[in-house]
Amino acid sequence: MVTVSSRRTLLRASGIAAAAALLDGCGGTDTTKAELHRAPSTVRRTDVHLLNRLLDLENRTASAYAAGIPLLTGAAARNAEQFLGQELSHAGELAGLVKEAGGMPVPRGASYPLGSLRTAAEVLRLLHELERLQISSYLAAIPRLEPGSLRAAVVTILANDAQHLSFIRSAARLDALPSPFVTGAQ
Amino acid sequence: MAVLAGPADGARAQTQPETEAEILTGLLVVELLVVYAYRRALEIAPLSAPVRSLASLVLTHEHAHVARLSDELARRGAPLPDGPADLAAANLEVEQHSQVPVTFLKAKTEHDWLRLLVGVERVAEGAYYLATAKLTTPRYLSLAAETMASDAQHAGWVALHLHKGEIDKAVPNAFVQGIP
Repeated sequence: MVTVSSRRTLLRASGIAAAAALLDGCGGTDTTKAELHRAPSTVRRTDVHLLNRLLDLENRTASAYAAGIPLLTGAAARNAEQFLGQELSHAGELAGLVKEAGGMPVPRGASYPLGSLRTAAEVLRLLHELERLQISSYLAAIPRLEPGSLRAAVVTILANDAQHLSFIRSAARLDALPSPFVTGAQ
Repeated sequence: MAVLAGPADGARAQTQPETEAEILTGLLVVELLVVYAYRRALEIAPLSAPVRSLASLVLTHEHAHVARLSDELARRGAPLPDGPADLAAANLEVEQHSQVPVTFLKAKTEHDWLRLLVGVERVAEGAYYLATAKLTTPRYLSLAAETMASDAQHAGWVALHLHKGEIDKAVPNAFVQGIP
């Protein structure tokens, strides 16, 4: 059986150093964030290609949101506006990481093939597909990225895209939470 | 094993990198707390029907998270931690996390419970975020990413109820980290 003091040790092991520090009365959450910020953040040149592929996807998805928002109404429209801003932030972050590696961020295309978008249903279908594609792409990329701080930076984007996917599914009258593990399959 | 020892080995954990088994065990500890929170909410909280339905579904997901982490640890022959022993222990755990603004002992209204549940989901997000930086085995990285994404979805929907449909408050961050 794991005792209370053992659970405190386990909290440390989970990487929540802040919680453990609080238990020891030593510090706060700044320690945890500072640890990640001080971690080596050098992005490898070999990761540039991977990051640029993810950046291209984000650019395409942002374009889809921008093109589709005028066809949406109500909560779906408000959600899409919120998510468009976040997709643009993702693109900015990825572009910054590519530059950090000495690479050239892939430019945002003048246009992307989005198919014919005439109805809200078509927009939601497209956004659903793009968010799924993003998630499966991030999942494939994460184990290949170094260092760990880069993986952590990228997983924060994946988690946000997972949120987008869930709300897009709901707007499309699909199950919002179909699985306990988000793989991009749904 | 170090994970079962007391404060002295806790100090060791702060100076030496954790093993992947320790990291997975830590994630399981957090997920067990999340399970406790949803279970407790469903047992005693005054939840509306839509929130109760959401919490019931999310609880099934959290159980799946616990099962998958437990399976991975069992494969390694690692001991499995227990969830919080009782309400007092659970309350002590949430008090250590600034992401959780309301403790079990203070949560009374649905609003309180929603804040608590969003808080524990953010604790889970933060745990996976940090774990992703430290894990290296691809299988474990996939587990961490897929599960973190799920917990982020849960947080989004619970927060949507908390903030009465305001998406900018329910999904406020382009980068989900969980730690404040």
